[in-house]
Amino acid sequence: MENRVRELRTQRAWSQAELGERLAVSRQAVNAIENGKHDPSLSLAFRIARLFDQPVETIFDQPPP
Amino acid sequence: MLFYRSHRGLRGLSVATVRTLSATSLAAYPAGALLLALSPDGLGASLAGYGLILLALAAWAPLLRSSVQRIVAEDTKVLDEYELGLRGRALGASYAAFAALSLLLVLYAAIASDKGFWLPDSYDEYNGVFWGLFLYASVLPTALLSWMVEPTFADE
Repeated sequence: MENRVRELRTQRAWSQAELGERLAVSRQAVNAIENGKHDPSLSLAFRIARLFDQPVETIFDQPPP
Repeated sequence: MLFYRSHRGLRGLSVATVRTLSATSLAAYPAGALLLALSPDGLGASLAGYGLILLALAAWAPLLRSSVQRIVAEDTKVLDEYELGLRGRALGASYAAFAALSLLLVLYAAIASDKGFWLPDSYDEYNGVFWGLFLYASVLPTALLSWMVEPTFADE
């Protein structure tokens, strides 16, 4: 799954650790999501969308197979 | 069987260090125990055997405070979903490795009893086997997880 988490985080000048703190997850989890190594659960995806104040589908996208 | 000791503000170990320490521990303990079992009367072999066992324990102890060990041994309630996924993969892989190792040990015991090869036959030797299995059960998930994550995993 592709996502814009890194782009949105850097726009706000937050570190991965800072974003992890706001989402109550580890820095490693943020790093894995940004690098496409971990697809977040629905619950975490909605928390990310709420934090960035954007609809979830504008942050996460599943490219067609 | 799995333990973790919070490092309370101290910097954790790097992934490369965890890989080195866990491999050292897993290799040194059986080497030391076999040296002790196979040459019970030689002073040099005994010293080398105990030295290797001490080395295995010295390499194991710092792992208890590593961020990799935290993922396999910490209370699941304080891990996030990514860490829980890694923990599941590490425990699954170590279960398979431990089961394979156990089967190989039983196979060896069956052959050894037929062919007259060495088998543990005293309390001390069984004690060595017991603590070796304990060490493997404790270190294998950490060792395997350290190879599943990026080298930068523990960097702050």
